[in-house]
Amino acid sequence: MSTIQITTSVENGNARISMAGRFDFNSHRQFREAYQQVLDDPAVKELEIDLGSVDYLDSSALGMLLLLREKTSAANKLLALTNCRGVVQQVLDVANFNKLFTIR
Amino acid sequence: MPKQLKILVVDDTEPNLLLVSKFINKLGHQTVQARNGLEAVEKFSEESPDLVLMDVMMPEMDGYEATARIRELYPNKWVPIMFLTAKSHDADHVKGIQVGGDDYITKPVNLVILEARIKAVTRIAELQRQIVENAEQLEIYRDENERELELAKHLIQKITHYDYLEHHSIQLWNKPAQHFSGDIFLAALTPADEIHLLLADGTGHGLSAALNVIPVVEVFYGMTSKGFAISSIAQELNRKIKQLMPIERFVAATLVSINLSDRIMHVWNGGNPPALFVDEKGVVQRSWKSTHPALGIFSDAEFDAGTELFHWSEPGQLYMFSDGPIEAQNASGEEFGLERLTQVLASNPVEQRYEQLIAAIDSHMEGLPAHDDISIGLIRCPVNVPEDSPRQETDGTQQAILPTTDCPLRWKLSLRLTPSELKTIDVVPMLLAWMDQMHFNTNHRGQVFLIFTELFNNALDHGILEIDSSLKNGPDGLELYFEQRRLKLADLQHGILEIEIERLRQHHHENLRMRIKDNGNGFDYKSITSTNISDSTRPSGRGLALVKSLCSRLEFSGNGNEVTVYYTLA
Repeated sequence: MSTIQITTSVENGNARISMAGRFDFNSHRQFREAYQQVLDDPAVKELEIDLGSVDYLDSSALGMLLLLREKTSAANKLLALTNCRGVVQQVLDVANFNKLFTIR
Repeated sequence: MPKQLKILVVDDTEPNLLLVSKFINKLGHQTVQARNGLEAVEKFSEESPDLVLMDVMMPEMDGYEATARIRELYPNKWVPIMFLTAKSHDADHVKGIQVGGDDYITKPVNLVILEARIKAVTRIAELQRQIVENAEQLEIYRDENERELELAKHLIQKITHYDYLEHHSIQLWNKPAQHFSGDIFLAALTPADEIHLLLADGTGHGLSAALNVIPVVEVFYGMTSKGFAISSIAQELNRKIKQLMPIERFVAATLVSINLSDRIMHVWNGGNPPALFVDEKGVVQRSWKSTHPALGIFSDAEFDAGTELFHWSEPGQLYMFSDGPIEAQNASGEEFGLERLTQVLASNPVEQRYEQLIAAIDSHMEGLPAHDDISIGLIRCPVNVPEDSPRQETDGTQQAILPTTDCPLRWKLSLRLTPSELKTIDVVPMLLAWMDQMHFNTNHRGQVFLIFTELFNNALDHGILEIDSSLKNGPDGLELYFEQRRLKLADLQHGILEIEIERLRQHHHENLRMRIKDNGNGFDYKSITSTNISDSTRPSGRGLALVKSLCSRLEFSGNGNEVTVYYTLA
């Protein structure tokens, strides 16, 4: 019942995971597969999660981002959340994720 | 379905019966025979065939009726029934299908077609059987699940309401998204009669979210009853959730402590929507946005337990929310939103506000199920609370005599605290916890807590931090005072505070003696203690007068930097 589309592109050691749609518990498997692939890629130095087309995100999604944060730092890679707008921006604000993530 | 089928062949003409049966046996299937409709129904019951080939025109009971009877007898058991019919009129085929037949073959039977049809029916029957089996398994699973959920629900209900405070000024509305709520709302009283509240919202919904918040309950109630401040409770909750839960499971929380008689509240909000203090006119006087990440994310060292203080001078209501009410959606996916919420609060008279807010959220959702648990807590904050006399926890009957009171434990405790301890330890609860271990009589807890707190705060605030208590006078006096206390304590380099507590027998009474000494400049204690306790208009001096009223003796010595009190236990 997932309603999220995830596309991944990698260039010069930068992996961009672009997400579109509803980022919630049902996105769990897809999201994990997407980031695991780039985490396992030794050429990738930085992960960017592009939330520009996400129109909703819930606390499970925040949890998945925290898990990713832990895994990227364990893999010695950098992580950033980008293009946060509207509802996504609000949810991240309330959760004070700016204290935990690089948000561009 | 087995590869080898058991097929019931029904025909009143012997040659047909034999021909079809033989052919079917050759295909590797087993046959059962019936020569009229009645017999067909009987054989069907006895043999449970996988497929029925049914002639239409028969004596006793025709094929249609036999089929209808079989379908009636076994409504939940689908076995394909194929008519063998000489008639090739559409109306007859329709009738055959209406009475519960699945297919037909015209006579004389073409064996090649019969074989193909049997195969097709077999495939469908196999699917059908699979569905029935899955449905049965699902049902068993669902029933088991229901039972387990019921038990879990019962447990969670018991755990979260174990010590819940029923208080006339507190109301709560909760609407879980599923069987369970990942939101909990807890309320309890401290030994000094302050109200502590916690609205916690675990990641996700349902049972797993409810499991998230279980560790929270015990810590909250336990630490509140020992008199810890909400900042210490927040720190401990964070540590505990971090330790117990996987990283992606955290708990958004709003913690509040309310002192109704001093009209002071402290608020800590990590990850919840703003808590709002709304006055009688519906104006939001103060809002506490989330200024921290939720509990269970930061390490102990990174965690910030700093609370925000508010002193209300007009009566009002404090509202606490989980994100459910804000994010409640209508059919077109539009959220209720904070704006609409404050609008409802502003446009309704104070006594109907809470009900109107709930009604507004309900009607916004248009009967749709909630995506998320919805919780709203309301605490009424009046301004005319009478100065409480210290709580007598006994109900008029003499306190229960502990076995140890026949021969009470004698002890003496001395502490010497330097700036590094003063910055990190919540001293008074620690002392009380220690006394509990010494079988200290709990009936005196409230009073002793008050006395310790007053004397300790006096020594620390005025003796060591040198804050002028006249700072409290004025409109924002208390905020200024507490802010200055926080800053000065954080910068404290020098100062020593000595505490001595002793349990002793004097003049035929069991007494608690407490002495507190700081290395500050003391004060003119003669003028302060003469303050009449009923003169509650002055924010300073009241505490000391209160202590004096509770103790059998209160003596200052030195230049006022040392105080000794005696409290009668029995």
